[in-house]
Amino acid sequence: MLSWLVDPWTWGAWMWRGMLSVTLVAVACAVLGVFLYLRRMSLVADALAHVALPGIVAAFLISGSLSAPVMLFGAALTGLLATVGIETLSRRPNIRPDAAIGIVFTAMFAAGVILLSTRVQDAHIDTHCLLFGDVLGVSDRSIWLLAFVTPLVLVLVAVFYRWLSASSFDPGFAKSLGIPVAAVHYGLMTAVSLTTVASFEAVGAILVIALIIVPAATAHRLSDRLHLMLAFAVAHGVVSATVGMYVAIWIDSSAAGAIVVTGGLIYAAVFLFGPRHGLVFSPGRHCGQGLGPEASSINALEG
Amino acid sequence: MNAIVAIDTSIYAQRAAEFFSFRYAFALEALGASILVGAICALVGTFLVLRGMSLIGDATGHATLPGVCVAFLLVGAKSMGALLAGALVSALAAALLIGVISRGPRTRPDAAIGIVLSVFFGFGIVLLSYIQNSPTGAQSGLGGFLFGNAAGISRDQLIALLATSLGLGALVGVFYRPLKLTVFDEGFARSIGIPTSLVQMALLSALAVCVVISIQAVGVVLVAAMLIIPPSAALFLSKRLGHVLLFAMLVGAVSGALGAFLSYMAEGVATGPAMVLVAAALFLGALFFGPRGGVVPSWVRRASSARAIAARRGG
Amino acid sequence: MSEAVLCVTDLTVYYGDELALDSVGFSLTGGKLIGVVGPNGAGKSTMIKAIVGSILPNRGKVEVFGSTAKRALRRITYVPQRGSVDWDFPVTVRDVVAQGRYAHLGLFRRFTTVDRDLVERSLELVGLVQLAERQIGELSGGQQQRVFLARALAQQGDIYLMDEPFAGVDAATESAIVEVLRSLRDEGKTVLVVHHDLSTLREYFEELVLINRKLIAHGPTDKVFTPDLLQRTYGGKLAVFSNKDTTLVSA
Repeated sequence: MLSWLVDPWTWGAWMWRGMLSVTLVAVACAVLGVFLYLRRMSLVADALAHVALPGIVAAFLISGSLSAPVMLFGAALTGLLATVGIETLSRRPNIRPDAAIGIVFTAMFAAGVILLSTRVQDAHIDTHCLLFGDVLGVSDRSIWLLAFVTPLVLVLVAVFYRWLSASSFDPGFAKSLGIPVAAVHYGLMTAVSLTTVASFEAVGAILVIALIIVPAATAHRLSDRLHLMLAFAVAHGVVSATVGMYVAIWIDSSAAGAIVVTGGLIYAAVFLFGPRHGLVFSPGRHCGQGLGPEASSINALEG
Repeated sequence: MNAIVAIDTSIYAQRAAEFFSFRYAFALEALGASILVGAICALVGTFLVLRGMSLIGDATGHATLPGVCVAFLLVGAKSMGALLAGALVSALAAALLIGVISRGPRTRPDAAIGIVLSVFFGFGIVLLSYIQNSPTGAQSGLGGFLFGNAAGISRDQLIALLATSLGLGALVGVFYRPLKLTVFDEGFARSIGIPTSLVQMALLSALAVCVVISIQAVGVVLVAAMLIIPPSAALFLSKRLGHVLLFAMLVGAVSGALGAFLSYMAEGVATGPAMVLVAAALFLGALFFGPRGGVVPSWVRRASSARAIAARRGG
Repeated sequence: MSEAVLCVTDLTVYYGDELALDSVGFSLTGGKLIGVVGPNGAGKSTMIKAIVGSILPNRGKVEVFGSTAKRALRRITYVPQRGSVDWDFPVTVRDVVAQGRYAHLGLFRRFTTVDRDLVERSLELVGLVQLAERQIGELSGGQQQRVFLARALAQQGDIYLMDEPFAGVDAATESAIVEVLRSLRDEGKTVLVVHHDLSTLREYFEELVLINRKLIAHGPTDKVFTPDLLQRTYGGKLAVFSNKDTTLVSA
């Protein structure tokens, strides 16, 4: 009866390789996604994921190599370029920030697609794989890259947890404490770029966005504290990665797509039936409602 | 790098001659469709950009993919009408869903866009890979929807595209005043009795229609660029809405024409990315030299006013 | 006059081409409650942010106890406007107050019992002990403002800069906050408050800073709270009725 759960593992190494890589991708994306989401930068993540493509392709064209450091460097560079470009454009009075995002990443992505389709046809870059991922065929390089990037992301987030949490919640106050808010911002952006590159082979440039945004959005509706939100987001990522892999195997479809759809369904379930903020079973308690009479706490203040 | 430059240029000359002779009907149709798409996306996109809804266009574009695939699975054959109807349904569903999610407690409007975009697109990819892995679907040609293939547009489709574009254009013309007021000052528009939520709905519907008729030429992934970039360029050329619309459509149409041409010239280049790159180049031109807030003109103005102040202080 | 606690010189801030703050300078002594007054867009928040280092001034210098060292500047605590954060952020009241200790703990030092006691004492002082485990979005506006105040108290600074702490707050909370501020002053701290309600200025503050992009006046409330200076601060937007001992104003 459980054979459909167990069998895929016996069909060859690709199953555990695939499972390992999507889990690593899901964990790194979920953790970074929480901070991006809370900083209202979900769509910057969208942009960064897209611009990693021209970064990788350009790095390949210039160096002729597809080694991990070259790819990471290329993507980090275009990521930084896009971040700076978006911020510079947003500062001009006749461009709104959302339009700035849209302009920068679509243009850079288009350039990447064109380079990919004209210049690197016979290299070992598979267009379809870069865009939509190929979990079951991930290379050793990609697994090693993930095995390096995901722990790195976790360690960095743990080390800079106070800076990240304080500057995400209240950047003005964080600055007054002497926290280097701008450095934290660019550090986070770089981490997102690196994670995107590491995730490319497994889930592709476009669907990685879902693994960044959806877990955080789900977790936000379930948790009142940041570390719980991180835990819920990671759980969401891992569960949808696992379930999505099985679904992809059963119906013979894109694994990345199946993972994203599973994650989306979990989000929809939490949105509708979540214990506290769900639309359907919400017991009438919403944000912003005062709790109890103001007077009681004032009494405590004076007493 | 030198290899890239040293490509035999005579092939290009030959291809260019071929393109402009319009010997092949599909070249003409591709050109016409790209120009139309560029212009109509710019028209609708101007209102989106001004209302701060740029990225809703992106989400709507990506969200058409599952609709196309579901329609293909239901109809079983590649009937363009059915595919586009499917695209329209899922684009509208996505636009509405973004509104529903952003209004809930504990959500972020930007995340709502990202969620809808990526989950719809993920669903589309699942369906697309399922179709392409099945024996009948391998030749479906649905892959062309990702980045657009203007050369695949038939004469009938071009006529339908023209009719829809004219219809959208006429609607914008008729409802120009309520649209304009809602874009610039929603509160005021509501106070004088304009049903702004109806205008919003109409705008989203127009967006869905516009995206759907454009995806054959530019593809679902990059249609947002044609909605956002030409209007953003036009905002550096004029401050009056009417002029902005005209400039945006002009930029869009030129990008469409040049994009179709470049895509014809270079083997393997999809129409969508080519159009987007041309639009981006035009945007850069407007950003630097546009008379309304362009980099160079405002730099010149600041320098001359600094000189004037210095002269006044000196004198 | 005792030694200057906070000394601001030539503070100038541009937003793009626009001059938001024009060469503002003043110096404050300890043990005072000081009000900052000026019309909307006068650069009050900008000035506070520039002093605490939340924005970088284009020109000017901030000295704390005669030093511009970073360590000295940490003795300034900042209470931002309530609208500056997302109140649906997943963080409890106690977590926010504990952030005040980050100034001293940096990234790695653990919370000691001393830190924990300070957090609890600050929660007590503002009357939020019962709500300490609540997510901050569940609080009323007045309670949220008190969370910010408690965070500042936990930071244990010597100078408090508060950006409109009374905006959108009910009368009971306002008087409770004022009580806390008075006890801070009595401990010898310097408390600078951006304030909008001209009718309570005299009651709350012994010193005023009037600004409208430039410094209009700085001095004891009795000397500075005059129709003439207010008129200059607010331009034509103010009606001033005055006779011998009362000044009635409406902005």
